[in-house]
Amino acid sequence: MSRDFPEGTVAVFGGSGGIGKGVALEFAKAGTDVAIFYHSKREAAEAVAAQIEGLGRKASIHQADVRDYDALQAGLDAAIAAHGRVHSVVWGAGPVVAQVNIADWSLEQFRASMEIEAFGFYHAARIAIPHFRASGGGSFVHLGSAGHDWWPHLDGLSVAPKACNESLVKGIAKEEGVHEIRANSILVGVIDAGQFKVGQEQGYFDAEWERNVKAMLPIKRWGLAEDIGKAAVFLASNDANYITGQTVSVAGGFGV
Amino acid sequence: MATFAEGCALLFGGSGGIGSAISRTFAQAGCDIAIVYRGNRERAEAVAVDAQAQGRRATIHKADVTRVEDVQTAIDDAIAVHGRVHTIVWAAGPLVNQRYLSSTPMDEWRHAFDVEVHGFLAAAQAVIPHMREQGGGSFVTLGSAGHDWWPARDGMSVAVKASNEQLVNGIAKEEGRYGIRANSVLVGVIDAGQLHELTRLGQIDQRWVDNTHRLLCLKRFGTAEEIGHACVFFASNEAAYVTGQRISVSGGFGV
Repeated sequence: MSRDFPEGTVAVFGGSGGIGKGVALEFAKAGTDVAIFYHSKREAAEAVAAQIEGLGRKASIHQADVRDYDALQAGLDAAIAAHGRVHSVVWGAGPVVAQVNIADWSLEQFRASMEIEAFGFYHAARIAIPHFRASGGGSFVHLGSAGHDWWPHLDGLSVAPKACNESLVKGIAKEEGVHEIRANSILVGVIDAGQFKVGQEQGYFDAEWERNVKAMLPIKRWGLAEDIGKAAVFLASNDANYITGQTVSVAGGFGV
Repeated sequence: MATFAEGCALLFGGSGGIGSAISRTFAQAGCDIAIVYRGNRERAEAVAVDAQAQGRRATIHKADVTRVEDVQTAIDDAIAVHGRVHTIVWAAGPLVNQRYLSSTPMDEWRHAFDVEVHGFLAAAQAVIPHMREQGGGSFVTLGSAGHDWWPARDGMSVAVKASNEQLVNGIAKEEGRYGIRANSVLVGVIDAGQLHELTRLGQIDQRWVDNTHRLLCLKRFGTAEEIGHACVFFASNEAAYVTGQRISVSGGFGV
């Protein structure tokens, strides 16, 4: 479905990932340009950019380690230079999350998770906010976890840093709303892409796990990257101009 | 265009100040509509005529939602004309007088539940067998942004609608296996309907407006169309994996 957006581009952080690719494509289908931020999967980023250009939209790719504030600043400046304006930031950056009990985390595991997912999001927000203010507005769409509503055993290294970001989303909504800056979060359920596939290969999400989780889901299927993308598109579009500080779980009813 | 299942959206309260804008938004998004009204036949007809001019099939249905037979008839008639009801939008509700809980008349309190909660349960019970048989469907209820932060003197709206928030959770959980979803749009201060009426009645004044702006992240009131867009999102195939959720369309009230 095509939607109205402000001028310029969406910046998708993690746009080369399993879910990020789907999100980037949905934005292109909905009628806006896309700036893809990736860490290491350059080929994947280039492939998505090519698909987006095939749809008739402008795409750019930007490499950055989100822990590197200066690299992020340079990346966002480049996206603004290429597209004129960044109207929305979609935050889907994050490493594959090891499934480990809190009690068994190494100190380094938790530090790394917080630095990439929470500090990284804070960096992106700190860099984008002055641009948004100067542009008359903008919005953040954070990809959080459906585990926010119901703690998922062993998935703390994902849920905990994202919980920090849920608070930042509310804070940005409250403090920057006066500048027409919005911030919302999608709580992402089990999506048949990216990390889930990796976890399946590694044996964490075996047949018994699938049976147990599906038994809890009101909607008896896994989600698709496009389910997340369509929700992100709605929240970033002009149709959602009165929506801020909200979380929407796209997770088949997980945790209801 | 957004995509929907075959058939129509049936909008209870689809002739109201906000309800009529929601009905129009569905029609503009490419969805056939069936509008249920209690007394405002003229507005229901006007919305239907405009929808038809856009190429939509649009019907109107009179019902008092405190009467279960009326609710059943409206649903049966909509199915007869449109073939299928894929979405129920629940926007029915009386004007909510602004009162403190301690001085709320019992008869007004009971009437609010009769219309908003018992009416919704009646509609849900009447249409769920049809939705199951059709392979799915969804409910979109209008709740209150006050759900997140108690708004002074609005108890008869918020406490009543809180029941429906749980019904939404329950329908989502119990009927998900049949492809039936349920979600809620929490309505903030909207420049339409009840706001105009309560201002006219003197229950809302400029001081209230200024104080309310201070509570909002986005310093303005919303439009009824913005409520419509959120309802359309929840009802459309774009939200096929979304159930048991609420989105507050309120400029960040209660954040």
